[in-house]
Amino acid sequence: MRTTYREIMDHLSVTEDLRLRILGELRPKRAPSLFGLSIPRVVSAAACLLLLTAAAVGVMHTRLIAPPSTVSSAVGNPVSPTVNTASAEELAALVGFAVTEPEIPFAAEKTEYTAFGKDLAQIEWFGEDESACFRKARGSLDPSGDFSTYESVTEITANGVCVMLKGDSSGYLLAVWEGSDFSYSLRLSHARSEQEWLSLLENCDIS
Amino acid sequence: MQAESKRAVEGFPRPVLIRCPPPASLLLKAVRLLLSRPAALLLADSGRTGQAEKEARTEQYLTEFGSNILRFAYSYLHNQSDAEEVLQETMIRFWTCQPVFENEIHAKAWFLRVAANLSKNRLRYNRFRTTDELGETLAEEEREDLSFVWEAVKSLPVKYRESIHLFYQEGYSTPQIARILGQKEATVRSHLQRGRMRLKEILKEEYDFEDDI
Repeated sequence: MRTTYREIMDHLSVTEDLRLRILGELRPKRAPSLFGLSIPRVVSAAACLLLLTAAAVGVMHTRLIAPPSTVSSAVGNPVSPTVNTASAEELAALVGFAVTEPEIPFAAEKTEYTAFGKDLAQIEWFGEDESACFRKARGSLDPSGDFSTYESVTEITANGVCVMLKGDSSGYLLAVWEGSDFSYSLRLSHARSEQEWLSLLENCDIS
Repeated sequence: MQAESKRAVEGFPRPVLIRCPPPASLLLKAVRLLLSRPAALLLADSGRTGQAEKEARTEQYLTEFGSNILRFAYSYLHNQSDAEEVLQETMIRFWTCQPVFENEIHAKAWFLRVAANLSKNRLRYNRFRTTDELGETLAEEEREDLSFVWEAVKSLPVKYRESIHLFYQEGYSTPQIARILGQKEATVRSHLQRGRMRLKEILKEEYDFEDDI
């Protein structure tokens, strides 16, 4: 088994092209230089000298400094914080909108609730050999994060809501739909037929 | 504590009085620093040496462990682009953190641990690029034997797959796998056993699964 597995994995390796690409991506991260000196270092040195000069002329004896604000700026932190919670209720409280757990077609051994910022709530279920991922997001964009091109795409109506199903010859894996102000997706690791999806979604509060 | 910090946010923040040291002592410190070594030289030297060393270390580890990281990431994600992005992110982490390693074993374990975490994050957030280039290559080569095993391994849950990969591909023992994945040794042992049982069921062929671990 070890030999076979290694023979499979031998098909993957870092090519020279990939190596250069990765190193190329890293190199521009270096700070630009000025006359051989790194600009941030020059700026830091200049700032230190300025402070020392100010101190020398006795301009500052004491000063008031406000403590840093505990509210972080959204501009400085463009990445949505990912927070795990213990329940759907906690998740809803964190994202600021209701999150109702849909029904899933297998017995879950573990459930994970995750908030991605204030705009995306995710629930994941893990069974013995199956998993499912439900997402609800503000707005009308497809929240699934699934950009695969599927062979089969169809639309069904469940509980009066138009749901797009995506999959392949074995069945459908992904359902995406829109409600008022929110968009939703449910993805299953194992494909299900259109009829199975219909009965699954009809038992859910999907709007 | 929470109530206190909440009040601090909502209310006007209280200013803190900081007494600066006397200007004379600051000047003295600055003069001592300048006399010890010309500042510009100090900055230029440390910047260049640090940068060159960083680049050399990164290149060295990419050459040494790049393929191991790529394969491990692929074992999670089953997609070439995703695996390559994980490799790149891993190297960025290394570039940024510049960890100091005791030895090569420690270094490799660090890279694999970072790659595992990044791959699992990617599985959670954006898991669904479905093109499996490795599977396609094996099919093109008409290696049904390898395709069969690969499909069997792919079908395993992630928790089994990661242990299986580190055991069969990297040759790690269960305590080493446990350290890399941040799991208990008993958990790894159980995942390995269950994973192999599942593979035996699927493959139904004579493979040496090395049951004694």
